[in-house]
Amino acid sequence: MTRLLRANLFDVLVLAPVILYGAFLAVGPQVQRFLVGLGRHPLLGFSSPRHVVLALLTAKMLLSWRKLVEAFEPQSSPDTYLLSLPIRRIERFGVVFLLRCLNNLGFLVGLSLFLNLSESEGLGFFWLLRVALVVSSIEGGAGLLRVAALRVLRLRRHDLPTRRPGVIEATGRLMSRALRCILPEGLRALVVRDVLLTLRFFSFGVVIHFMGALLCLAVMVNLLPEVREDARAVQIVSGLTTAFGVAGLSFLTPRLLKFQIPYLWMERSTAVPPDFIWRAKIWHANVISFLFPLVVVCVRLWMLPESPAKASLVLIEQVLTGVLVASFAGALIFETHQQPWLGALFSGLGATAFALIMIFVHWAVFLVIFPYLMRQFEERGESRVHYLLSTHDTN
Amino acid sequence: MIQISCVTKRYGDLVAVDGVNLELGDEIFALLGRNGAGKSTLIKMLVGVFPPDQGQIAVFGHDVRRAPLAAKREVGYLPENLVLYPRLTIQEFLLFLAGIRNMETRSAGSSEAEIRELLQYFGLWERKHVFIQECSLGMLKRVGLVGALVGPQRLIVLDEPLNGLDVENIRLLRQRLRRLREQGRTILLASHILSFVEEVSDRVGIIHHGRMKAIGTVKEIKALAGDGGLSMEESFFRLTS
Repeated sequence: MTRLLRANLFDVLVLAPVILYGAFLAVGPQVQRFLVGLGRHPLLGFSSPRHVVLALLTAKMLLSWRKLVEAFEPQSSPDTYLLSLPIRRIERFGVVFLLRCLNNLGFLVGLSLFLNLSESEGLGFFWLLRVALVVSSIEGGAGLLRVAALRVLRLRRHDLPTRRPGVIEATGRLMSRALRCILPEGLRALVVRDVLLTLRFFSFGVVIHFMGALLCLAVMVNLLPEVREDARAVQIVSGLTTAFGVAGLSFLTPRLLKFQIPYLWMERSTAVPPDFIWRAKIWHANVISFLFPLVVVCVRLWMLPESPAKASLVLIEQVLTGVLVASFAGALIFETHQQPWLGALFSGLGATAFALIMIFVHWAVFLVIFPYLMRQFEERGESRVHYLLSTHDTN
Repeated sequence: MIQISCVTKRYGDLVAVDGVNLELGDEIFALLGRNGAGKSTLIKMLVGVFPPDQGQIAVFGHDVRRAPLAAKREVGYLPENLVLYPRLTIQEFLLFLAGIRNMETRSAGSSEAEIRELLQYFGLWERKHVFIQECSLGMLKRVGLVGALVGPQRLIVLDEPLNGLDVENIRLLRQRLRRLREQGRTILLASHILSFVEEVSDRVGIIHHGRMKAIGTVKEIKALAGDGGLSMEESFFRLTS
């Protein structure tokens, strides 16, 4: 139990505050301004900071449900061995409860920083502490109830007889059907697998990349009102937001490749052509980032309404910028997966260059740049895949 | 027909496989050997995970070095260390494997139907939505077996297929392998369970320090060991000591 506490206390008491405070220093004022703007919106105007805190806590509770059940009754993590040791159940549950309290308190303190909660509104530290205790008790109660129910039914979690396909599984099947007309079978299988792994958060880094994209969006929301009179500046802000957001998201692809290296025996022992593997990564970068340009366009048009004709042009420009940036990042990954920072630098430079070209020349230049780039990278990409497959046997 | 001619593989100073020759037809061929004898290395070269340093391997006429894709198209492989994506479900993983083997295109049929049949056969159909990370060792091995068997490939290579399997599933596997042989497939398996090998295989090869020490039917191997009345285990020890 001391081990569990020691392992988690460092995260809760040292790592989390450092990250939180760092994030606050970096983007705190922007996030605060964004939230104030959001709060003034007629749809959300009724919500007080108290409502926002409770809504976010509920979301957190729902998202961490599986993790919570696993913490109370480990079944698939290395902590399963705890069940076979002579440790009283009450001790184990006590430690889990304590850690949940600390976790929730850390989350609430972070929220209070970003939401600028104050003592005068009755939302001081003691209120946060009380809420953390109540939420942890609810979590603990619900978690224990589920563990007890499984015990009564004499089931382990993975013994549940028929598990229904989840939303992500259904998404994978839909995607596979949708891509049937566009992609050959082998390539389609690779793309669907990569997207499924990303949607299932193959590593914590996925969260960071998505947060990075949201950060780009937050910066745009803050900058647009200041440059709204200058059409060119608006175009630059939204173009660069798309480019950096898409670059941030598509930089998940090299991270995915690094994660996949121990599993490459499947590609090695089956007849997957190297160009399929290369193209699958470009598709992955595009699929995981294709929504971002649409979100940028929606936010921009929400803040600065345009005529339908102008809005369509904005949409085309942003989508093509996104495709160009994502494809560039995807095409490069077999060069950069061993040196992620170099890859990030290249992707960032490429993203800036492409966004500016699309803005200052014309979006139609995409029709020239895209095929040229892909042709230049194709042969090199294939040979790099071949090299990777023939030199990194870990199985 | 599988032809392995004078194949050698070195890891630095260590010669893992040393000039091995072997021909396989439509049969179940078992590869026996102590730990580190070179079984898995030979298998990995055969399935194209890495190329041999010297010698040639041809899978149904396709050289694994000159025409690797054509050769790999003929192979279904179960590795010894089964590393599968933990956050895919059993069904997602198998559909992925069928996809990269171009099953639909090649057999002009539904890969899902064959996966379903195999999952039902090995008792996994009800659990097809379970994540791989939640599978027990036996389930994982069965998933790997289904992955190796699914598809029209003519060569099935199973490296230690019995680890983690219970008695019932071992029997199911034995029956399935016999049925595949009757359909004209070639099966190469490496195992330490000599009773299974004795019962299921048409021919046996014993590899020792990277060299093929003996090849033949179980009867011939026992005769080679010097006494036809010996157990397989005793014959194995005599040939490798």
